[in-house]
Amino acid sequence: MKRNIIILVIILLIVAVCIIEELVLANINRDLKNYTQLLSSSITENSNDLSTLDVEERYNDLKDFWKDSKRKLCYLTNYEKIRIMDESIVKLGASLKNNDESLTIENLAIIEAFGEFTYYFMGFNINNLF
Amino acid sequence: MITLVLRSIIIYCIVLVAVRLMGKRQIGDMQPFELVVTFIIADLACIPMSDVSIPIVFGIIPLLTLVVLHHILSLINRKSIIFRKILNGKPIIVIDKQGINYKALKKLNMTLNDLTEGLRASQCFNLQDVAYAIVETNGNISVLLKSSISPISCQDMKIKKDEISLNVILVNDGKLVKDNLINLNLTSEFIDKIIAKENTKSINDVLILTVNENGEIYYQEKNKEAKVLQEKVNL
Repeated sequence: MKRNIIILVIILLIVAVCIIEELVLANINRDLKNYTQLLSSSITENSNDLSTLDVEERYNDLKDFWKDSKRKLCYLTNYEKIRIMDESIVKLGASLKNNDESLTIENLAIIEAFGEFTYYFMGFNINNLF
Repeated sequence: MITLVLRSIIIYCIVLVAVRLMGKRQIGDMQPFELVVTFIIADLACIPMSDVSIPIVFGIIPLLTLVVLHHILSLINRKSIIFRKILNGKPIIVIDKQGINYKALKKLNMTLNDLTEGLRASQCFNLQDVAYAIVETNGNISVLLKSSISPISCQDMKIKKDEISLNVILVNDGKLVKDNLINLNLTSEFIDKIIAKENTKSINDVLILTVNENGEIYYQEKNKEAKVLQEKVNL
């Protein structure tokens, strides 16, 4: 009886972890998309000068959001994968400062793809089963 | 480095709990599905313990999943005979009245060397002494000796012997085993009486004290010889 209760608790724990993981990944992916889209539209609007206050604000929002999400992702993803995102955000900041539009777009694309890839690899997906 | 130490402690505790939950069988007595789980658990525990870039959850969740799976399999294994046959196989007779069953050996992927080795492990050194030999589902070989070889028992000789009773430990390395004392409806005064009788200073000086239903007490003080005492015990 005692053992059955422990097993039941373990099952509930596993289910809870799976649901939390799925929700966290879906939320991060969705929010990351929103932040990158906002930054992307801001870059398109200010394509002549990327060092405007609006672009900088959007970039800072993205950076803060990532800082927050990173803490959660540390429990769910391989740290090495998170590093790619860290590097891309730093590169994005540098390209914005240098007013390099093509590099900015490239880094933004990497960041956007990261969210999707993480969700694809970590979230429940029938392709990942095999 | 502190992360590695803490991770190792966490994983060790979880593996310990997992193994405890899975039962007390020794490796040699394991059924195939139990052996598989044990191997995977050992591997799963190693990866997040040594690689700090992998979250510890990556090790814990599969480990707990295996514990649950093992529990479910054991449960079905206990309830269903058909499932037991599929999962564990069935005992196979390798030696019978006709001699060695070569077909059965082939089916088990066993050589004659494996068979004779197994027989020797069961204290049977001559093939002609064996009436039946059965390979159990866990790989052990059970041997039934021919009646002319099997040892004579008291029943054969029509001799009546006292019933064997289990020795229960009441003092273990100077410590009173309270649970056993309660189970036998005894009090600590019983122990004090024996200690006083044997002129032992205190219970801390007693290495072991056991008692059985026949009132036989095995008593040994630390660094002294063991004694067998007789005491009236109503168990």
